[in-house]
Amino acid sequence: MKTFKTLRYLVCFMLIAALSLAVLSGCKTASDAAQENTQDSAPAVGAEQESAQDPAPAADVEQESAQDPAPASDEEQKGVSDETLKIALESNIAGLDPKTTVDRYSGNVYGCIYEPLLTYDENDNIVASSIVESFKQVDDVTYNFQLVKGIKFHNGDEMKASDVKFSLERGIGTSMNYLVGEIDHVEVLGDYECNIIIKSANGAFLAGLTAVQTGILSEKAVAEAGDDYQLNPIGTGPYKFVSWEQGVCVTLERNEDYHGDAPYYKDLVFYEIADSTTRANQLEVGEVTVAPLAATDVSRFENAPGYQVVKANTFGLIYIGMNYRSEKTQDQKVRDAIAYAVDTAAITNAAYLGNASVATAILSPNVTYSIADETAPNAYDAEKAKALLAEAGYGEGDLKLTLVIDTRGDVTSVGTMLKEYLNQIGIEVEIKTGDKATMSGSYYANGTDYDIFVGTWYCATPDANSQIFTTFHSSCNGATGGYCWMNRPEMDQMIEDARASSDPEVRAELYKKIQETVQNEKWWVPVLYYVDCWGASEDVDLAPILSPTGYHQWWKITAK
Amino acid sequence: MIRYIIRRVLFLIPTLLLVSFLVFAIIQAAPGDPAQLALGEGATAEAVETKRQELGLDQPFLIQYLNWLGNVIFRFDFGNSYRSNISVAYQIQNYFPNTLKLSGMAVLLGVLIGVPIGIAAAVKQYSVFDNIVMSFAMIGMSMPAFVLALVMLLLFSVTLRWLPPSGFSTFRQMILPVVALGMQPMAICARMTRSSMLEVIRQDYIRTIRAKGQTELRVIVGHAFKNAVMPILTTVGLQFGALIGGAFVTETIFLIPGFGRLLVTAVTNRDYPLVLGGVVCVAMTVALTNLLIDIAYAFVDPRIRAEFKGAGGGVFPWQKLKKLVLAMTPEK
Amino acid sequence: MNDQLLKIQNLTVDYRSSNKTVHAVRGLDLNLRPGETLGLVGETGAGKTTTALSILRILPDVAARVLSGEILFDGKDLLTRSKKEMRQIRGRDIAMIFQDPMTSLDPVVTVGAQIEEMIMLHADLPRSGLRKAAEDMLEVVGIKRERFDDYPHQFSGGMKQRVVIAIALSCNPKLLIADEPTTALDVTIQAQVLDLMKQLKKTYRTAMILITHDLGVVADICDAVAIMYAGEIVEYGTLEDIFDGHRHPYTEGLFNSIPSIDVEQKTLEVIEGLTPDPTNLPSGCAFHPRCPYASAHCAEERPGETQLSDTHYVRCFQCAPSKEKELQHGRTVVERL
Repeated sequence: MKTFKTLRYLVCFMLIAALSLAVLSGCKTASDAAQENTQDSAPAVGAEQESAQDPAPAADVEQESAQDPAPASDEEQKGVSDETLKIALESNIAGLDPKTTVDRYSGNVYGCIYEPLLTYDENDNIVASSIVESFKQVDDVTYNFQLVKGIKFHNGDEMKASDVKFSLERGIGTSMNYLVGEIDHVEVLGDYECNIIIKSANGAFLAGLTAVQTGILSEKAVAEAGDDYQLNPIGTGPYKFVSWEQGVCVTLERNEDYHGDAPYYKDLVFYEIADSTTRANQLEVGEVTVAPLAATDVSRFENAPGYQVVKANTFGLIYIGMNYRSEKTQDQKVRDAIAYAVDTAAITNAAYLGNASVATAILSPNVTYSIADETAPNAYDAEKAKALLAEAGYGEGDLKLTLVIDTRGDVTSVGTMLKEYLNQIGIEVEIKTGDKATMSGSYYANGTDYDIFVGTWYCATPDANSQIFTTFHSSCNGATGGYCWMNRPEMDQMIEDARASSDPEVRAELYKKIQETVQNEKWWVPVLYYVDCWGASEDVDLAPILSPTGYHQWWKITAK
Repeated sequence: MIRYIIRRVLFLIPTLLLVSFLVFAIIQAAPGDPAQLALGEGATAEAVETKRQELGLDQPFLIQYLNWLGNVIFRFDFGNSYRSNISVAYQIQNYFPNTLKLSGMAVLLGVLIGVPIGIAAAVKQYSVFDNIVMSFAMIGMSMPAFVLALVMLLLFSVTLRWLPPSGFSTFRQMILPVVALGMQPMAICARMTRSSMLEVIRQDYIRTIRAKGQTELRVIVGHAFKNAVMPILTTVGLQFGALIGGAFVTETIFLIPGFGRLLVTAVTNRDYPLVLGGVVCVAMTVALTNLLIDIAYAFVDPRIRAEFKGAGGGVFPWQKLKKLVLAMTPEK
Repeated sequence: MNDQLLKIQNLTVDYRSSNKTVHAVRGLDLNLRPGETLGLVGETGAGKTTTALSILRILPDVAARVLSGEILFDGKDLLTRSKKEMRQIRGRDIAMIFQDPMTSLDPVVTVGAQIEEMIMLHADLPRSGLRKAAEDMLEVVGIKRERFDDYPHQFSGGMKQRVVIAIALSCNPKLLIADEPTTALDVTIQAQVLDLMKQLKKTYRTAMILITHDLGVVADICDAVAIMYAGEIVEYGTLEDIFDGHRHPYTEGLFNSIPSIDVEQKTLEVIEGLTPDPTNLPSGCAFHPRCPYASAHCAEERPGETQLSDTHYVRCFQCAPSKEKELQHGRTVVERL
C-alpha cells in the first residue's frame, strides 16, 4: 500500500542517515584537530605530537603548571619539549598511594611523582638519589641519611626529615611491608638528617629503599587529604599529578620546579588497557605511543614503518613447582623424572613464539646473586624420565598427580603442555584450575591437595632476598608466596644468614647454595624468563629507560 | 496511583536488603582472602593478619554484614575499596554514569530503529522487506555484542580510521560502542514490535477504525501501535536491566570505564565493599526501571490504570502478573 | 435507475492463498434505493461479509482480489475511486458496523473520543463543537452523556453496540451496512438494539444493508431481502415476495427449517448436504447437489437471473414464472417441470 512506502522510506532514511553520520564524522576537519586530544590528528603515526593538544581528556583539568618565573633559562636545558607521551599499561592503575597499592603498574605511574631515598647507578651499585646528600651505615642496624636542603614538594612545601620518617613508618605492616617491615623506627635528628634503625642486621634492606614504593610523601598533604589523598598525590618528583580519570588514565605534567634535570616530555598520560588486542589497536591507531605487546602482536609492529619493537628482560619467570608436603613428590627420583620429562625450550617457543628466554636458575638473570648465567637449562630426556619413574617403583599409569594452575593465559598453556609431557612418560595428571584468587585460597593457603603446580614469580626488588625469602622461608608458606611449603631448618638458616649479611661475597655464596639446592632437588623447575616486548613509535628513545625491575624511568625518556 | 508508587518504592528496601545479603554470603563463601589479595604476593603472614583485622574480616559473618549495613544506612558510607582504599561511592560515581549512558543509548537506539522497522515489517507482512528485516533481526540477536564490537573496531577504527577506537566522552567516541551494544536490543525490539503489531492489526477494532475512513497511517501508528506497545515496553525494560549489569567485554574493548569492568575486577580481587556497592546500585536501577515500566503501562492501558486505582494488592510480582493476565483476557 | 442509491453489478471477489483460491463472491448483483433496508441472508461462508467489505473497500488486501464488477454508489463506481476519495466516503456516506461489539472498539480510547474521531474526519466542526456533537450522539443511542470519558471495557455488550451505532451514524451516512449486529447479543438486548436501529432509520432516513442469518430479524426490519448462497444471490425480492412467495429451493429449505408454532414436529427439517467448499464449488448451479428438484441440466450450466416480477428474481432453472403456485398452510409448492 502506498502509505507504507512512507514508513519504509522513513526507516531506510534513518539507517542511511545514521551511516552517513558515521561516515561524515570520520572526515577530519580543522575544527576537529582543536578538539579533545583523543582525536589524534596524526593518523600517520610517527608524526610529532601536536603541541596544541589537550593532555587531559577528563573535564577537570588541573591548573597549568606553576607559572615559570625563569622560562628562558629552562629552555636552554638539554632538550625539553612540549610534547605529550602516551603510555599504555597492561593492568589497572589501582591507586597512587604506595601504602595501599604496591603493584608494578601503579608503581610505574607514581614512580614519576615520588622519589625514594636511594637509587642504582650505571654499575648497579646502590647510591644516594637526588634528594639525599649522603648516607652511611653506622652500625649493624642503623643507617644515617643526610638530606639535600631545599627540595620542594609539588605543593611548595619543603621536604624535611620528618616527611621521611612519616613515609617509611606508615608503610610498616601494610602492603609495603616487604620493603620497610624491617624498620624498627626512624629517628629524626634535625630538619635534614635522620637515622633509620632496623630490627636486625639485614643486607637486603638498602635495596628496598630504592623501590618507588618507598618514595617520600608529604606528611602534611597526606594528613590534610585523609582518605582522598590518592586523588591528588603530592611528591618531590620530576612529574606532578594532574588528573585521574578513573578506569581510563592518569595524567602527569612536568614539574617545572624540579630540583634535578627536567624531563623531556611535558606531559605523561598513562592509560590502563588490560586487553592486549586493544593495546595493539590503540598503538596502531596512534592513541598511545608506547605499549607493551603480547607475543602474538609483536609481528604486527616489528616491520611496520614508523614503529619499533624493543625487547627488555624482566625479573619474572614461569616455573613448575613441587609441593614439599605432598607424599608423591617426596622421592627425588619422582621429581627428577618430572623434570626430565619436560622440554622447557619447546614450551618457551610454543607459548611465546620466541619472545621469552629459556630459564636456567630460579632467579631471573638480572637479579643480584642470580646464578642464571652459570646454570644450564633443564635437561630434557624422556627416556631417562621413564627409567627413573620405573626405578621409583611406578609403572605406566601408576602415578597420579594433581596439578594446580590458574586461568591466566600463559600459566594455562604451560600447564597444559606440562600435562602432555607427563602423560607421555606415563604419569596421570589431574588439573585443578580457577582464577588466581580462588587457587590461592583453596590450595596454596593450606599446602594440601596438590602435588605440583605452575606458577609465575616476579622478583619485587633487584635483591635476591625478596624472592628467596618469600618463596622458600618457612614463615612465608601459604598464599602469600610460599606455595612450595618448604619447611627445612637448614634452608631457613641459609636464607636468614644471607639476608642479614652485608657482605656481598658471603651473600653470593649463600644464594648460590640456595639456588643450587632448589634447582638440583627440583623443587622448582624454571621454565622461561619473561621478556617484555614493547611497541612504540619510532621517534621515542625507549630502550634506555626500560628496566628489568619492571619500574621504568619514564622521566628520563626522550625523543630520538 | 501515588499510593501504588509509594508502595512499590518501599518494597525496594527489602529487595535491596535481600540482594545485598545474598551477594555478601556468596562472595564470602568464595575461596580467596581479600586481605591477602589486597596486599599482593610477598606479604608476610603478620601483615596479612593485620590487614584482616583492619578490614574487619576476622569478625563473624553477620557482624560484618551488619557493620556494612549500618554504615550504609546511617552514614551513607559504602566503605572503601579493599584494594585501593578509594571510597566506593567515589568509584561508583565515576563508573556508573558511563554504563548508564552506554546502556541507555544502546536501548534507545534499539527502540528508535527497531520499533519503526518492526511496525513496517508487520504492516508489510510476507513481503521482501519483511523477510529481510526478520533475517537481520535473527542475526542481530544471535551475534554476541563483542564479536560485532571487535569487527566494527577493526573496520571503522583501525582500518578506515573513521572513528576513534576508545573513550566515551565525545559523541564520535560513543558511536561504535553504542551501535555494537545496541544491535541486540534493536533486533529484539524489531521482532517484538512486529509480532505485537501483527496481533493487534488483526483485531476487529482496527477494521472499525478503517471503516471510519481514517488514514492508514493514523490507523497503524495512532491506534494499532498504542495497543501493541505494552510488550514492547516490557522488552525495553528487560533489555535495559540486562545491559546495566555491565557490558563487560564491550567496555574492555572500547576502554570505557564502566560498571562491567569495575565489578568484574572487584569480584576477582574479592573486594567486598566494591562488589556490594556495585550490586546494590545495579539492583536499585533494575528495580526502578521495572517500576517505571509498570507506571508506563498504566498510562497506556486504561484497563490497567483502573486496576491501579482500585483496591490494594498488586504489589508482589505474582499478584501483578495475575491482574495483568486477567485484564488482558477478553471477557465473554 | 436514477433513484438507485447502490447498484452492484457482477461483483466477483476471490481470496488467494499460496495453493488455494476461495471463490467468495461470484457475479453478485444488488440494488438498493435510498432509505430502503435490504436484508442479506445466508449461511456462514456464503460471502455476505465479503460483499460488505468490498463496498467499503476494506478487504484484507494481502489475499483478497476483486476480479470484476461495478459498485455504483450515487452513480459513481466505488471500485475505481482513489484511496483518498474512498476515505472520505467511508464514514461520511457509507458506514459499517460489525458483528462482535466486544472487540469492535479500541480498548485504549474513550468511547467519546472514538465518536469524536468519526466526526472529526468528516465534519468541519471546531474542537469545542466536537465534544458536544459526540455527547449528543451518545444520548441519541440511549447512553448518558456523562459517560463520554469512559472506556469500552466499562460498558456491557449491548451498550457497546450502541456506541458502535452511534459512531456509525454520527455523520449521517446515506448507507449503513450492518454485519450481523445482533448475533453476539442475547435476545432481549437484541430486541432493544433492533428497536433503536428502526427508530434511527426513521429519523435519519438511512438506507441499510442488514446482513444476517436470522429470518426473524429480517421480518422485523427489512423492506427487501436477498438470499445468498455460495457467493451469489439466488433469490431477491421484497419482504412479501420472499416470505410469502419464495421460489428458490434453497429459500424453501430455509423457511422449511423454521419450526412452526402450529404444527407438532419431532425433528427439525434440514437441508440435506453441506455448504459447498468455496475452493471447490460444484459445477453449474452451486446448490444442485443438495436440491431436491435438480435436473441434469442444473449440473451443467449456471442459472442466470429469471425475473419473476418487477421486484422478484430467482436463479434457478426449475422456477418458471408461468407455473402456478399453490398455497398450502403458508408454504409454497413448486411444480416440477
